[in-house]
Amino acid sequence: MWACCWNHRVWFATKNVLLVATVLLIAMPASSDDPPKAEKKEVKPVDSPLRKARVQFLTDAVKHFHVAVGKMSVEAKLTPEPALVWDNPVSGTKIGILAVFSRNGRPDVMAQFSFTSPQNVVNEFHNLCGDTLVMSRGTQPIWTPPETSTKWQTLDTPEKPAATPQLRLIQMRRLASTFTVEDDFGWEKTERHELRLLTTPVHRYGQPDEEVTDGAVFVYALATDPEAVLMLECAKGESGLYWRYGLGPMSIYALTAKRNGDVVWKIPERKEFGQTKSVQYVLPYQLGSGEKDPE
Amino acid sequence: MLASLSFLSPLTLAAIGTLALSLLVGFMFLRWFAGPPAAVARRVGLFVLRSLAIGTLVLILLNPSDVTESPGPIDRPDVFYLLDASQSMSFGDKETRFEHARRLMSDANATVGDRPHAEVKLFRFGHRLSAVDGQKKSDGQELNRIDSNVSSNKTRATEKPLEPVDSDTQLVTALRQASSRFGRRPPAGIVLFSDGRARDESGVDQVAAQFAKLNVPVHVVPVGDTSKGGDVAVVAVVVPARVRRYTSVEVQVFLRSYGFEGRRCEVSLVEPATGEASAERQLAPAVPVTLHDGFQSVELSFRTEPKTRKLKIKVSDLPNEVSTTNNEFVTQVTIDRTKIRVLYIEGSSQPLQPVQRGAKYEVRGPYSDIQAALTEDEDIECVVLHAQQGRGRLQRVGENIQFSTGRSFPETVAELSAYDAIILSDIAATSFNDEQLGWMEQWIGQRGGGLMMVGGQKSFAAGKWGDTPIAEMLPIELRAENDWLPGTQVSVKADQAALGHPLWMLTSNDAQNRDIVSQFPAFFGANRWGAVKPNLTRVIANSNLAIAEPPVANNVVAQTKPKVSLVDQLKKNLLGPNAGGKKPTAPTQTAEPKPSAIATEPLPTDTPAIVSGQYGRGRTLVMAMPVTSPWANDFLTKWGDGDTKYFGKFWRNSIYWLTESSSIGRRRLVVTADKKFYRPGETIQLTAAAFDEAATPTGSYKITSMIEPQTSLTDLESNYSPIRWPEGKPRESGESGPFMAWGEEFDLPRVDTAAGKPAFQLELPIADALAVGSASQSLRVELTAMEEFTQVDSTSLDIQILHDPFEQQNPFPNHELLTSIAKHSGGKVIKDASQLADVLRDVPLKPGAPVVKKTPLWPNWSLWSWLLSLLTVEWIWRRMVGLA
Repeated sequence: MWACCWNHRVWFATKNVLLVATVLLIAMPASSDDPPKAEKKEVKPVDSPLRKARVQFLTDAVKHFHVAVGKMSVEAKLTPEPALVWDNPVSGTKIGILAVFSRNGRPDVMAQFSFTSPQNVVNEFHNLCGDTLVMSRGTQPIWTPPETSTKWQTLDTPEKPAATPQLRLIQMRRLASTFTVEDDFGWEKTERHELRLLTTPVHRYGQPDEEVTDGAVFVYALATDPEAVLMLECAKGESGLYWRYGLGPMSIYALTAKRNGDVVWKIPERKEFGQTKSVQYVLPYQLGSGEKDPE
Repeated sequence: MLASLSFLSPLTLAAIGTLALSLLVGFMFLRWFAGPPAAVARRVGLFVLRSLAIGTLVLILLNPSDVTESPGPIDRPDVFYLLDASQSMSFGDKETRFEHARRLMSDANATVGDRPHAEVKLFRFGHRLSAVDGQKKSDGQELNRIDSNVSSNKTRATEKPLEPVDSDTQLVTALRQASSRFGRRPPAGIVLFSDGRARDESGVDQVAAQFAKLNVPVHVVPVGDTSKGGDVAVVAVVVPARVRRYTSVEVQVFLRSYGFEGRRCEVSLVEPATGEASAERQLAPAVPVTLHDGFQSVELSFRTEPKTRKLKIKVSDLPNEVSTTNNEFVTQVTIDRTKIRVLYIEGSSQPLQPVQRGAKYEVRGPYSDIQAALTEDEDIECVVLHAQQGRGRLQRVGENIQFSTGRSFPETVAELSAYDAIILSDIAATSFNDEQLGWMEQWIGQRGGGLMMVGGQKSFAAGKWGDTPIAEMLPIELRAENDWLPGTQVSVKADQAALGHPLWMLTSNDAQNRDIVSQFPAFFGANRWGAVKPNLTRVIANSNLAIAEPPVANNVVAQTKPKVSLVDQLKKNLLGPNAGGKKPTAPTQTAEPKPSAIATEPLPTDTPAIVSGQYGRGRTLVMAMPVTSPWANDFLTKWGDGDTKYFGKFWRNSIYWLTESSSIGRRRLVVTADKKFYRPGETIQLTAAAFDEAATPTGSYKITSMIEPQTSLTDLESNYSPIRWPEGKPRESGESGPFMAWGEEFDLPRVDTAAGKPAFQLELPIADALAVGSASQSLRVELTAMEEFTQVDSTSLDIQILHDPFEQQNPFPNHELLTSIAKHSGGKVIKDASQLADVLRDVPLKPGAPVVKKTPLWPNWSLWSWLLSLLTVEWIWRRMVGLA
């Protein structure tokens, strides 16, 4: 999704030239009555090997990053497979992956790596963890977010957690459907999109003998591009199991989440790129040694 | 309660006597050996003190106690209340059958008061019997408790609400289950509150006779009016859960009637009142219906609005109905706010006009009015591509109407499919290559996009569209020759048969709407089509053409005079000081195509001007007239007064209608079912289509699915759905029963279409009867497209199964059945609260043994203080007189 923002930056730099070009075109007389045939632009088909190579490139690229959480620097491990493979034809992102770093199942950091064109691969990390964390590439710390935009809240619902994970999944889907998320998507001109809930969680966690018995991460997407996540948990409390939730951004744009029509979470636009102290870390991906741009 | 003082010494009298004698003998021996006490010790005072201390000790040994005696509890037999909580108990006018039963219970409670009576245990039944409250309460409180429970509808968290909600009445089953709740001693009687309408009537007399053998009479309280004429009810409604704004939505209404064969009534659809001040608002004309006993369906449709949330479907009340409360059904639709993305391609030769807006400068183009009209709706996004001067590369118009060279026509079919509709305005077919035209065909035909082409000198045949796939998609035939008629004035009139078309829904007032439509402005110039294609097309408006001078472009739209000096300055900056400051002039129609043979034909009258159609899954719309200035100046500026310009609403209506079938090309997984609703015993054919990032159908994903209930899990009657596991399909969940468990995962196998396109399909047989016997059951099929362990997309589909519910089949009460139960069990037919109170009082009451409470008095601090004081004084005295 940020790939389109990068495009917009380029576009910004040329906007004065474009305006002049526009004016020139106004004055230019028509040279012919018959418009010329449009050029056929070569578009590479998204065949299976090419697609697989792009997904593999993105999956390998995430592995260059390491996340350590808390004073004890506990490693948040990367889940072996991407949680989601996505694309965004609205922004022109051809393909992207969503990856999860976690210590005990609950995501500490979620990463999106996306491919828009061979020289336009973007990495984007969002902090969902309440603790301090350090993200490094190799041995070099590059991101130490001071805070998270995720706040955990008890979910007010008469629905008591069911006994089995199978039935709890049904409940969590129903609970997730009570949330809506709006995204003010766009670089200069924003368009408010009501995001689509992917009804199957992209990540599931929790253990029966731990505080979090069951947890699920739902994605709110534009096309299939995650713009926000909802984490729903069945946790042990003083009076038995209860539901709680936390919402997190997967976008630099302003997001507003509502539950049954009431605003429950809001985050403003954050156009911050590559800043070590920002709640997110977004930059074009820098190739590692031996790596080549994907086709 | 009696109270008395008793001595409850643990020592017997003999032991006490022996102890006293021993002490006396011991004292005498002491005196015999030691002689009399010293003279100094022979003091009366000391003797008194010691005597008092010894007396106190003796008193303690005697264990004085307070003994109270209470009468024993009265052993009261149980009486079971069995309350029918099936849906038929909700019938009634001023008072429902259920309320009647509750009132009788409360009144009987008041009549009994504090007098001894039987202990009442309340049960509800419908599908099955369940206790309403099993907690023990103190004597005399249970009737109040029952009354309180009945009136507040409170039950334990795990139980069903005490309301008439069960969709079945299993009366005999309930009686049998009641006998298993008897405990060590059977109750003195059972009181059955019911309308007698039960599914399991057969064998009820035998069951009642068994109760007679147990000496447990079943008293019955028949409720419900037997003198009514019949009943009609709305039992189910099928409507999509999520709908788009300004779209036509079909509502399938299912009625059940009894006793009104041949009678006529009306079914209407309204938006319920939202408060005391508001009133119901009719959403669709009422549909007349002739009733016949049994199940019948009625179809209504309405057009959604931004704020519509709840729908009330009503069938008109008939005289002497059993109940009118079931003549209404309230359901809800949620407005789908998914953005509608419109790709608007404008090829008009009209010039761009720099316009100053306050401190900002804008460049307005011929597309500006339509773009503004569409984006006035926050649910519509409009991306404009403009071929300046009508030719050359399409350029995307950005914010402030500047051009972005970065993005043009979508580079892939996936990007194109991310739109919901395309508008082609005065743009030639040659602006697109064959691949792009193929993408349009694929997107509209297969993904349900909308296509609109409007008139212009480069539209339709004049734009050489005749040899493209688009010509096949349009609802009209294109002529072979140039069809552009610039020198005409076009008067457009809505087709009378199409006045109800969504395009013409400009206001909510029908009369005002007709008036506005009749003032549809005139245009200059039009394309002249061949015929309207025969299938799935509709003429929405016709036109009359008259010869007129072609209009000259002017700055009608731009009201603010541009600061040309800024333009000159920019040109100077780019081209140097010699570039000159020539003001851009608005060209007249110098680029007009050469006149063709069509221009010499006589001008037609009453010829189609706006036509709608369908292509594959998509919708198409054509307008013969151009929609930009100067051809459509009246349309853009004069249709409507002041700020009320109807052309904007007209455009938005067009887009909403065009995109109604759009299956959202931004999704990678789309699922459909073969029917809107199903009956028990039928089969659901589930078809899923998966797409890759290039929006091409793919069969390389694994599609997993599961069935989920629409209701809360606490309301579930069973852990199994009414869907049978498909025969022969392997099962990995460990389940082995005939039905799918809720949440049990299954795959959709790949079954390619006849055209060779990959698809996923599975047939899911529905049970012959719904387990709960309900009128309808809503299910949700959840589907996930997976690529190995990674999700690609997920979606869900609502499925509704309709059933002819038992509770609605015969709404009349069956008091004969209840009377028979009473007769065979030795019970009574109770008609009022006083008779019910008699049942509670007329039970054998056996007083229990009295309760005796003994409280020892010696554990008392004042007694021990007294004793300690005596000993202390005696000791001090002795020390003072020199004794040891």
